[in-house]
Amino acid sequence: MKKLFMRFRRYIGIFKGVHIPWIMLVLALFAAITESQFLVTQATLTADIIDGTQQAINQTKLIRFVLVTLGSAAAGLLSTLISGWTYQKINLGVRNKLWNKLMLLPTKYYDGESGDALVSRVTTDASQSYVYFHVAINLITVIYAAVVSFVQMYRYSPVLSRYFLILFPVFVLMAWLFGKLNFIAGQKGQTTMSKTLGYLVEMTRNLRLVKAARMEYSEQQRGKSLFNKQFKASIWAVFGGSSTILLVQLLSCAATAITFIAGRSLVNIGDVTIGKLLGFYTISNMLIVRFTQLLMFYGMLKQGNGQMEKISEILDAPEEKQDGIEFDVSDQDIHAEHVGFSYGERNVLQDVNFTIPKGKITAIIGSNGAGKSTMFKLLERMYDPEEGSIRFGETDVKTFNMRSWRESFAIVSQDKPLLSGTVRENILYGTKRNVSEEELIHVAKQANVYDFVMETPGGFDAQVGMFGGNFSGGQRQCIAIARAMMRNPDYLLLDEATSNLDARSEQVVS
Amino acid sequence: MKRKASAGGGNWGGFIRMLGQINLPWLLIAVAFVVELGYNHVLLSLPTTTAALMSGSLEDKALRDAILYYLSYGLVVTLETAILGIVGRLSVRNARTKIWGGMTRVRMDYYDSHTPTALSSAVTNDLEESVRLLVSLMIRTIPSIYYLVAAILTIGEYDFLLVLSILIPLPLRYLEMVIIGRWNYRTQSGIFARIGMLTGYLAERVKNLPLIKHFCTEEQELKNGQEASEDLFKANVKAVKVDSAAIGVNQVITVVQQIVVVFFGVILLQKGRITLAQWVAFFLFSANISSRFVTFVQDWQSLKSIQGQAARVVEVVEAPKEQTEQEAKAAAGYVARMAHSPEVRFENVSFAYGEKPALNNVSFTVPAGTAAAIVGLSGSGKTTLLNLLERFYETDRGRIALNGEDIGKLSLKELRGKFSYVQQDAGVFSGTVREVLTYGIDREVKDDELIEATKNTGAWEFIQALPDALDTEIAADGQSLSGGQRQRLVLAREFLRNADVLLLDEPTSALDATTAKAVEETVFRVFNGKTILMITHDMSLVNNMDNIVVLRDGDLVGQGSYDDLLKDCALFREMVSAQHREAVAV
Repeated sequence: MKKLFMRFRRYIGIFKGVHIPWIMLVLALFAAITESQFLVTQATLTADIIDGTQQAINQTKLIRFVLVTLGSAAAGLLSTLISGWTYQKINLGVRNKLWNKLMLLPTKYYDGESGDALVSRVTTDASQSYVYFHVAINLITVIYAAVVSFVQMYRYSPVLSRYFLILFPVFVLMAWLFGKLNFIAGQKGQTTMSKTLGYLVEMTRNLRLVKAARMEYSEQQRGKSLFNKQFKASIWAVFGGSSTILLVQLLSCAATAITFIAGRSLVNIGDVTIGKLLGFYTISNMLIVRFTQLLMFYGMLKQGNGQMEKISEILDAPEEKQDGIEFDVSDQDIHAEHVGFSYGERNVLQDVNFTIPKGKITAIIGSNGAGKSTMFKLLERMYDPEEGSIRFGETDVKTFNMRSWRESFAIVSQDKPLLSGTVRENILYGTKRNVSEEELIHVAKQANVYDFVMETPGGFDAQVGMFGGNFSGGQRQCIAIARAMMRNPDYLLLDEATSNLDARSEQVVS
Repeated sequence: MKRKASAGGGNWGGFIRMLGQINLPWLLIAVAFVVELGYNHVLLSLPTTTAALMSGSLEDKALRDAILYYLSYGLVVTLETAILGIVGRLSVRNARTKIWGGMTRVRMDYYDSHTPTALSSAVTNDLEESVRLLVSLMIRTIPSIYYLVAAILTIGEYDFLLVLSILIPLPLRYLEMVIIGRWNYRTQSGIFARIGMLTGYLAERVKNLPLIKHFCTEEQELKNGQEASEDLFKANVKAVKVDSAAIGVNQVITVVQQIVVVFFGVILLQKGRITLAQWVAFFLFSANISSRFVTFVQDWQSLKSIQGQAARVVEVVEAPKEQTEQEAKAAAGYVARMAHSPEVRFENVSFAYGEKPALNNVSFTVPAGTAAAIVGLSGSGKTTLLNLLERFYETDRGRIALNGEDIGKLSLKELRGKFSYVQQDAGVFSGTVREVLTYGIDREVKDDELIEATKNTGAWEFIQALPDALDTEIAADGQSLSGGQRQRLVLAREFLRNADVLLLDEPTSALDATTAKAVEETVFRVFNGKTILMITHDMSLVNNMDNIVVLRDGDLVGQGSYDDLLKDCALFREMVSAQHREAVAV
């Protein structure tokens, strides 16, 4: 219980700093309660009318019936509208908070997670943020409706209502059981689904490899067995779904039996009229439907918990330090002293010492996996060294303001990443001053970009596509070089910057 | 190949053809159909039974019947839900297996023109929704019509005017659903577009977070992200509004309908034309009939809204395939009879990717058991040559022959089995190192052999250092490995395959010079006496080769030995001297 409370408090933390439209939430709740009140009144009026029809139709009652029906419709409508808006607003708040946080996390955090998982945190998981509020509103409404319904039933017949109470514990027990079942089914389905999806994406991305290795048949079989597993998991959902229906049916059957068997004797001794008995019957059925909604909330809450857990994991992670001394001129040498670093278990750098003299070209060479790229990352403070330190003159670089330190670097890396947008946007990415067209063309020419950009329809305004996919590897690299040159940094880091260029372009760049 | 009309307009013919091809659980569907009929039949007695209770007939028999009826009704409903659920999912599984099978044989040119995400969603979501809906319609539609007709006949027996009172408001309902449906469709597609935009934006940024940090553009990206979220929010709110409007209109029409029904009923009741029990039964029937009608219209709308998805599924199913099994069988055997390391000959080969020409009239020969290098600037068609040889694409003009045998006539499986192909940016699948290395190898591979192959490519060193050595799991797309490590694994894999012809596409581009040299030496030692085609940028690798093919913009501009080409081929001279200058500069 205490653990549950602790966890709940953690999830509440997710909403800290997120603007929650409380007034709208209260309005939505109020509308929902009004709707459920009207529904009970409607059933009561129906009972009255039925009792009345044996004599004559009561016109005022009919009019009231119509009005109440319209009222419940209007209230239901309002509640859907207001709560819908509010939930979306909450999702938006959490999504923005999460995105903000992702910007501030240290690089180390991303290493453990796959990109796709982080993306779905911000898209899918964040869109479930409203669940707690949704469940809260509905829970209050269901409880209210249950109380009002029961009071009305009691007014119709205290004896019958007491019989009805017997059903209650049976219902709670079954609801708990089925809720659990449905939850397990949902989870099984989700894991197998994501496995299948992951498999398919990986395969479709590398179909060429499958073909070259003549593995079509094996992959067909592998896919088949995955689909079969997924099917088996989804059968659980069918099982859960139909047993829930069975539960509702059996309950309403029991309610009917109780109402009419016990009710008959009451009608016979004149304790209850037929109309009242029918009113009782209608409202008791409504009560059962209300309770079955609780089943759904249980699953929703459980699932929501899973998603909130993932979100709060991100939100609770420590951020990069943003403060520190402003770094301005690079008038000192950079020294690495006894630097050691490892990615988890994998040792990369051990006791590394060197000096980068100011204003000179320093080359880092070594075989694959020797830690060259890692050295760059440490210089840029994407990671901090685990042992030793990197100093600028006498100052440990950790004491500089992160942003001002990083702004003095420009890197052209092995994987030359571009972001979708125009060529111009990519070259100017991260450059915060105004750049004239002449300067852009000048830099583009220097980086060997100008010629092929001019041949591309749209020129500098041509789209580079997702991950720069509209350009070849060599062209992407040239654009990345232009981007780095545009920043006019104090330090230029080149990480195998010409690996994708043919010898001719290589010459121009060097 | 481009069948725009089918994607936009909705070509159900293709979909029905596909349903015929996939192995649907017809027996279970028939059972489900019978259960559904039974369910509807039982449902027909619901209003009369309830009405008997409601009108106050509380005799023993009526009560017992009613309770028994409710009990059996509950069981039938449960059964119906269960069987519909199972049949739907079973059909989806079978359809998926079928389509996936076809997809592995789809032709590369089709594959290139579609994103992997689009292809996988055709097999997952698109298929799931369309197959389930169609199977469920196959089962539900006729029983539903049976219910409607029987219910209307029953009411007709009470009084003809009652039928009229039910039918009158239906056109109103139809109109409502059509209008709201259209509206809904538009907002929903707006939401999907927004979600797509947000996901696309996020996917790119999240994968490049270090880039953002490096360029200190956090604030700018934050703003962009917020704008995308805000857009999605607006689209969602619009959907909420449409939903609410739909609910509102629906409620109003329901009330109107109820008033009409009550009005007719009460008048007839007062005139004594129907009994109270009949009136109650009629009231309940009217609600059921109206909701059935709504379901029909909804089904129709879902049918229309999944048209796009269904069309995508059909497109994948009917996508042009590589060789069929019959064709492969007919062509089988040629390769087996072929000499071990055949001669490779390109004869006047031309090829274009769509409109973009890649090769123009290229002819050259690689004699059996010799090595040839293919050089040229980026984008000159080098990789295309190897792709044509593997028959990832078919030549537009000319032919490629192995020992004089046109490869177009060979069995694809046998042809590709003849090659070890180290592709550029070669991928590895997730799995253990062992699985990566033995991917596509049918025979049992011993550890000793694995270790030897990985030692030859310099991979063993890092594999050894991995926590579980050969049994270490590698993440999807080999993301946990560096580019050089990946390349060494791929090389080792092709060494193990040890096919008769070796195709290398920049096999050492991610390796440092020392490793590259060592790997190259191993290649020529291990594959000594086999036919080798190697693409490279590294001119130092080709200086002892006798057969070098030089390409420029898809044209063959030179072929011969290193020394011949230095004399005769200007481009070759330029490439060699550029690299030479660079070497001196460093």
